[in-house]
Amino acid sequence: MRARLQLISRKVVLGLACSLSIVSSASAQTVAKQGDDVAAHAMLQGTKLLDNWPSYNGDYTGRRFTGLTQVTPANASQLQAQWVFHSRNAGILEATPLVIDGVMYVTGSNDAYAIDAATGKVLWHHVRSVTQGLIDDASGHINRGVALLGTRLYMQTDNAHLLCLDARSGNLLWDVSYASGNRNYGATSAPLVVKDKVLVGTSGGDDGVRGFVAAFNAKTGKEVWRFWTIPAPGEPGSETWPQGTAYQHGGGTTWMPGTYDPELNTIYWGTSNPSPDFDGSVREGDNLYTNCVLALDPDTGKLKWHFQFTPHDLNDYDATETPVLIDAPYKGKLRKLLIEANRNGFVYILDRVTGEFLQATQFAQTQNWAKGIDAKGRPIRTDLIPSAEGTRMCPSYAGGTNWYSPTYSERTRLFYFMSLDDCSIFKAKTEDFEEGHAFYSTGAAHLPTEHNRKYLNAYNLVTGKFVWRYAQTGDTHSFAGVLSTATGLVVFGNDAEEFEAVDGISGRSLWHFNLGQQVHASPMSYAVDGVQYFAIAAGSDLFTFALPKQTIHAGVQKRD
Amino acid sequence: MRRLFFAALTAAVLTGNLRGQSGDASAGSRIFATNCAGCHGSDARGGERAPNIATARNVASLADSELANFVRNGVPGAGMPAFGFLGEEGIRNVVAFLRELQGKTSAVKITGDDGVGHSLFFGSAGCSECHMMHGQGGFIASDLSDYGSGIAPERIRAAVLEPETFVSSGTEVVEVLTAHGETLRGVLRAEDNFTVVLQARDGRYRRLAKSGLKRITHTGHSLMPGDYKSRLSPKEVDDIVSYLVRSAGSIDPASRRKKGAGQ
Repeated sequence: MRARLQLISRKVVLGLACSLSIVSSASAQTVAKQGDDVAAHAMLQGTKLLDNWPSYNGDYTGRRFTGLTQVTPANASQLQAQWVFHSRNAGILEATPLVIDGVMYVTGSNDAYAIDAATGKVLWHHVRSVTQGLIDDASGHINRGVALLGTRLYMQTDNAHLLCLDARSGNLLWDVSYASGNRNYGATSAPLVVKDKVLVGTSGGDDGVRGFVAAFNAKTGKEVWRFWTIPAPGEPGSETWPQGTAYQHGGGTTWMPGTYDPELNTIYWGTSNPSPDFDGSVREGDNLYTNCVLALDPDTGKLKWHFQFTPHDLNDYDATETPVLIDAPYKGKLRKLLIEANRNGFVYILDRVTGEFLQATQFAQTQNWAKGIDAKGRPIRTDLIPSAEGTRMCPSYAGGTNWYSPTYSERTRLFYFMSLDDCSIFKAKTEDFEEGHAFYSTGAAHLPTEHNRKYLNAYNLVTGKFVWRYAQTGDTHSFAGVLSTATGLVVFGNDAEEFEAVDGISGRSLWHFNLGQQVHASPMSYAVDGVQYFAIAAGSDLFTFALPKQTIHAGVQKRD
Repeated sequence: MRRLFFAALTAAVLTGNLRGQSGDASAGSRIFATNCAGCHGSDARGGERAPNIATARNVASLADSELANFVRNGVPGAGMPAFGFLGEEGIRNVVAFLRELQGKTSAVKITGDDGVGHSLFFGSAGCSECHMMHGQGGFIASDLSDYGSGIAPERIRAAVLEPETFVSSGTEVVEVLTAHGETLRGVLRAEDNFTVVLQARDGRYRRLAKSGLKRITHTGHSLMPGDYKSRLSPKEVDDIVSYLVRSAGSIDPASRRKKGAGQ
C-alpha cells in the first residue's frame, strides 16, 4: 500500500506551461543535483576521486584510488551491507558502476539502469534483449559498464553496437553498429569518453576477428577514426605476419577500456592475444599489434608508440590488463610511468612518454614459458610451445592475472593486484577459420593435480620487490579486482566469494562479507549525503557497504 | 513516412506467408495468462520480473521457431523457466497469442496523416517537450518510439484524450510539503515506506525521507496535459496516432537475419 498522507483533489492542468519545480533547498535531504550536465569534461579530467566515480576506472589514470577517508583501517571492521540491487536478467554482472551526484549507472547484459545510490532503488531501466547467435565471450552477454558525458550515457552491446542513451531517462538517442564483416565480433567492455569522442573496442580475439579501437563523435555517433590493431599488407607492422589473409583473422582485440593522459594527449589501450590462440605455425612472426599496449592520439587514432609484452603469443596471454598511469620517483627522477601487471606473469614499468621499457618483475610463482625479460623488454622464451599431445605451460590460459582491476595507492605507494598461480595443458592443431566458430586451434585444459591458488600482491615499484603476498583460499574461479583508499585501505573480492578489506601496509585482513556468489567484477567507492560507500558486483547482484550511522556521526563530531 | 508504411505492410504480408502453420491464439491466451503474464505482464509489455516481449524489437523480430525454443527451453541463468511441459501444441498456441500481442496478425486501419501528425508532435501539440521519438524530443515522459507498434489506435487515442486513466507508478506527479514549509513537485521515480525520489523537469532527482515531510500528495496525474480534447481536433488526434503507429513501423525478420545485416 502506498502511503497517501493527504490526497487533495487538486485539479492541476499539467502541461507545457506547468511548473514542475523542485526548488533548491538546504532543508530537504538532497540527492542528486543532476541537471543539464551529468558528467562535465572537468569532472572526467579530475584525478582526485571523491563523491563521484565518473568512468570505468574512476579516473583516467586507472589507479582506482579513492580520496574518500571515512572508512579507515581503524573502523573498517564495522562495515555493513547497505543495499542489494538484483539485475534480474543478467547472467553474471562484470560491470563497475559509475556514480555521479548520488545516481549510479550500471549495466547487466544489454540492459542499463540508473539507481538511487543511497537506497538502491531503480530510477530508470533501459531494456534491450540479448542477441541470439553470438559465440564465445559475446554469447555470455557480458557487459562491463557505461561511460558518461554531459547528459548522455554510452554503452556497448553484446553484438558490438554503441548505444547513446539519455542519462536522465534511459531513452535511446542513437544506436551504431560498429563491427561488420565478421560475425564473430562482439563487445563486453565499457566505452571510454575522451574529449568529444567515445572510444570502443570489441571482443572476439579468440575467434578470428581483426581487432580495432574506434572513436565516435559523442553527439552524433559518427565514426571519427579507427585504428586496426592488425596492420593490412604493406602497412607498418605487416612484416610481422605471413603474407596472405592471416591478418584478417589475427585477433588483437580491445576488450577493456583504456586509460588517458590529458597532458600528453595520449590514450593507452591494451590488445588481446593473436588468433588462432595456440597454433602459431600459421602466423610466423611477432604478430603486431597483438599483446601490446598502444599509445594512440585520441584526436586522430594515430599510433605514437607501442610496447609488445608477448611477441608471437601462444598461450592466450591478452595484454588487456589496465595500463595504470602514475607519476612517481623512479631511480631518483620523477617520471611519467605506466605500470601493468600482465597476464604473461610479469609486472612491467614503462616510461609512458616514450614507451621505453624500464623494468619487469616476475610475479607468477610458477612460470615456464620465458627464461626472463631482456634489457629491451622482450621475453627470452623457453622451448615450450603448445603441441598436438599437449604441453604443460604456466601461467595457465586464465593468465597470471587478468582484466580484473589492479590499484595503485598514492597513500602507501604500492601497486596491488590479484594474481593466479596455475598451469594448463596447451594443445595445438592447425584449423581453418570459420565464421560462427571460435578460432583457438585447439585448446587448453586444467590438470586436477595443479596446486592453483590466487594471491593479492603488494608490489613496490621502486625496489621491484613484493612487500607482501596474501594467499587466498578458494576455487580460483574468482575474477575480482582491487581498490585502494586514501586511508591506506585495500578492498578486493577474495577467492571465496567474499568482499574483503585489508591494511595496505601490512596486508592484515580487517573485515570480510560473504557475497554468496562468484565475483567477476572490480570494486569502486563513492559518497552520498556524507556517507562513503563501497560497491561491488557478485553473481547477478550489486552490493554496497558503508559504516554504521553512529560511527560516521562520531567521526564527524571528533573532527569538529 | 509513407514509404516506410508501405514497406511495413509488405513485410507484414511476407512474414504472414513465411510463418505458415500457426497455433490457436485464443487457446494461447489462456496459457499466457496462467504461465507467462505473472512475469511478463498481462499485455507482455514487461513486468517486475521479466522484460517486454510484445514490442521489444529484438523479440518481435524472432522467428516462430526461435520464440518456441525460448518457451520450450527457457533462458538458463536469466530466470526464465523451461515450459516444455506445455507440449508442442501448447507452445505453438502461446507463440500465436504472442504474435497477436505483438500486433503482427492484424492489419491496422490508419486514417490520419502521419506527416501532419509529425508536425503536431514536434510542434503545436507539444508532445516532444516531454516525449521522445527515435532519439528526438524530451526525456521526462515515456519514450514513444516503439509505442505505436502492436497497439490499437483506439487505445492511443484514449491515452491522448483521457490521460488520467493511464497514470502508472513511475509517471505520477507527486507533491510534498517539507518540514520547513517548502513545496516540491516532481515525477515519482521510486518510493518505499521511508523515502520518495522525485525527478524534476530538468532531470534532477531529489530523494526525500518521508519522516521529514509534513505532507505527501500523490496527485493521480501524470505530466500529460488533460486538455487535449479541447486543444486538438479529432482529425489532429488521428494524425498524431497515425504518426505514432507508422513511425513505430514493423519489423521484418527476414531483413534482420540477412547475413551481415546486423554485423
